[in-house]
Amino acid sequence: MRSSTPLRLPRSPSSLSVATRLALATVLVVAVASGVAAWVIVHQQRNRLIEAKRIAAGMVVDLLVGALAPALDFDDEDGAKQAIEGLRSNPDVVHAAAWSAEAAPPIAELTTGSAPTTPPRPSADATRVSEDAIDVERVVRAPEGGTVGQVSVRFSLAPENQRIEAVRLRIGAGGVAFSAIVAAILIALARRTVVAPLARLTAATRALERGERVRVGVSSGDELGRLAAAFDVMTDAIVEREVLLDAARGRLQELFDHLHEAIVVFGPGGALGEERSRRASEIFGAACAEGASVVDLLYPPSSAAPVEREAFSEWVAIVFDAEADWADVVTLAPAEVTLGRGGDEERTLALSWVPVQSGGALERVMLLAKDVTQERRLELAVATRDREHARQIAVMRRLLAGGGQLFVRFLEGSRRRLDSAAALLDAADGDLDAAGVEAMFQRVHTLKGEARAFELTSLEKDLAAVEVLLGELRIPARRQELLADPETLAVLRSVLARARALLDAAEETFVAESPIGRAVLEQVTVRRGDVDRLVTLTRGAAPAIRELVDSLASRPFGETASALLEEVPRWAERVGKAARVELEGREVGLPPSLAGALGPALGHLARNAIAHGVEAPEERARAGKPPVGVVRISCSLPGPVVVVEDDGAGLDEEALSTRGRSAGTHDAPALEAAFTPGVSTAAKVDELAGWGVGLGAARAELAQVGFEVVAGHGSGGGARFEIRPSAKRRSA
Amino acid sequence: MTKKAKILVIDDSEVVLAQVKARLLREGYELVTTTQTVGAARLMLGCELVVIDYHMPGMDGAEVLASLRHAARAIGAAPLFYLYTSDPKIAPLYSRHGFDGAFTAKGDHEALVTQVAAALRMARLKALSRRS
Repeated sequence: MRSSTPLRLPRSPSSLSVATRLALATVLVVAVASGVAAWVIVHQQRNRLIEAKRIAAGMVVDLLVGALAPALDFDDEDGAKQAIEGLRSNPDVVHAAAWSAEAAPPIAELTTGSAPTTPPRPSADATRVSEDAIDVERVVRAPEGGTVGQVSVRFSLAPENQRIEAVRLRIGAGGVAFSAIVAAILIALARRTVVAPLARLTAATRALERGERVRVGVSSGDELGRLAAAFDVMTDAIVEREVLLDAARGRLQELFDHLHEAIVVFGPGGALGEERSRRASEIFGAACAEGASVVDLLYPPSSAAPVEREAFSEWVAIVFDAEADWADVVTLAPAEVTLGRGGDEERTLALSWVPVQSGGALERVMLLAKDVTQERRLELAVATRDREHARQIAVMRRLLAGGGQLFVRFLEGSRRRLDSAAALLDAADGDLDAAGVEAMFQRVHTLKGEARAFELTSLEKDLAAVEVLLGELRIPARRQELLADPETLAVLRSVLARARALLDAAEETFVAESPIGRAVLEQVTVRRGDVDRLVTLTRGAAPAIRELVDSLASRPFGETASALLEEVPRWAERVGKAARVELEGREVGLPPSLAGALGPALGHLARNAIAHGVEAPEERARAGKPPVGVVRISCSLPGPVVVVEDDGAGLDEEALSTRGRSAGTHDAPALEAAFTPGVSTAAKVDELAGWGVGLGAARAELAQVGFEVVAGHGSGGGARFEIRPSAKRRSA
Repeated sequence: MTKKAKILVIDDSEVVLAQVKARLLREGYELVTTTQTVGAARLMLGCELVVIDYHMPGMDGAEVLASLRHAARAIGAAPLFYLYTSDPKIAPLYSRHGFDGAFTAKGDHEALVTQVAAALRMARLKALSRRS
């Protein structure tokens, strides 16, 4: 189970727990209740005590009045004082006074402790209760009912007040103790039944937040128990959904991973999301990490062409524009990208773009990149073959139209450019100014481009180096500074000389590969009809003119014979032999009539050389010869004379003689039998020879154009055939 | 949709022009090429993109660009002008010389194909952005 929500359980600042607050509230309530109860109890108790004391005080004073009445009635002051003094034994009496009816001051007075002020003479019976004393006043009457005096006694309430205070203190202490006990019980109970379950619920919530599956573990049947049970049910539901989501995500990832496409997803700004297929990781590596840029992914800043990177950045910026129409914008996305172009790790990806929309708005874009490197390489190879084929056809056409004149023009133009550059250096005489540098730069730049076109790699590299050097010189040159660095000029001269040498080498290669040798360098294209017309018009003209016209009409020997360079090895291979052709005199001009007949005749002679002359490799090895046989074909003037000579076993005169006799040529030289139709020394008929018609046919074709062919033995022991003008032609 | 664009390429080498033309024609573009800077303006008609070699005899690419821009305004054309060079020092300076962009790796025709496509796409994206 994993947490995917960004929500976090809030952590409140520390405060009093619920139990503590509940206990404090309870203590407060209990304390107030205890106080009220104590006040009521104490008040009632005090009232009872004071009432009892008031009654008792009344009774004491009434007894005093009974004792005082005779003394006052008879003005017995001593008796009155004795009666008053009798109160001294009562500890509650703090003052007592008796007045006779006549005298103003009390006739008897008793004071204990601190003497209070003598109260005024009472006028009637009364009992007054104050905070700390009870004052009882009585009118003393004679038995017949007349007033004989007054008495006032003050009883102290100190003992009662002390008792009440003691009771108040006991009640207060009991209330506090009770409150504390209640608070403790409440705290303990709250902790057990509320705080602890809530703490477990909180812990379970935090664990759920961390992605852990836990049970709250509260089994009580109260509200908290039901809350915990509900939480557990919710946890189970969340876990179950997460499991389903994980399974769905896993299936989706598995689906992604089994696709051939590399899949990544990006949002506004081009930031990649966490979703990616395994193939994406294989192709892009760490570059497709979450948060990386899709622009950098497809067009790394270090290697991508700036214009491609800029175009894609523009697309990423626009595609999430609320007003952009996906159907329009997606057509402007790149359909293909090549990573690591030109390197060993070059990879071409075909790109598809899928919108991920939410609420009608484009939220993200899914990129599906299919690796089409192999397909593109195959297509390129096919295209290259097609182009090569087309190029070969073009080459043939160019040859037919006048040979490699494009390359010849390139050689001529390049030499002119090199001459011009060298002249600039010579004219500079140590001071190459801005115009000189610029002119040299342009010449070298163009020359380099054309060298690349003809794949003259060494020349191109040399010229690129010069271009860099000149490029650096252009900066001071533009500031009108003269370049008087002899070393630099020497380097330029040296590289230009090497470029000329490379051009010469390229020309030599071109000539060597040309069917017509050096003649290719002087070849021009003319219409054959014009030449034929010229030949007709100059018949009967002066010999010098005729000779010139014949030369103009002639065809290079190499043009006719060069095809054998490729054909002979192929023919030899077909019959299990190895052979090659050596051509000499490719530039020698042939009369047009001979050029037309010579090709087939040379073909016959070359096939004959392979079939009858050149031995099989093992046989040549036994004879001490190289494994590859050689057929030398040369052309020379005057004549022209064409010689075909091989290094094989030579013509078997005995066998030819025998076969010739069998064919009815009894008187002819043995070698002449080789030209007799039906005569062949081949042991069997194969695709090259054996029918006995080849040489005869060749002789016949050549005879039609005034040439004859004679057989003989070569200097190396092989067969030799010479094609030369017939006696009739020579005499003409 | 980018395959039908008409492109003018100006380079002093016929060989380079022939190769560029052959490759871009295979991609379906319509190509016009010239080695001559004089008179190149009339070839711009209908072109979406003009590709200019930076180094040419007599004037450099920036000078050619200035004259072509002037001519383009005169004929009411507004093609993109892109520098074509293999010189890594020149390429980043294209805007300073007034080009709309630069095609690098001159000589690599496969790279040129993708860069040309990107330039044309970017022009359309900017037009789309202006509309919205």
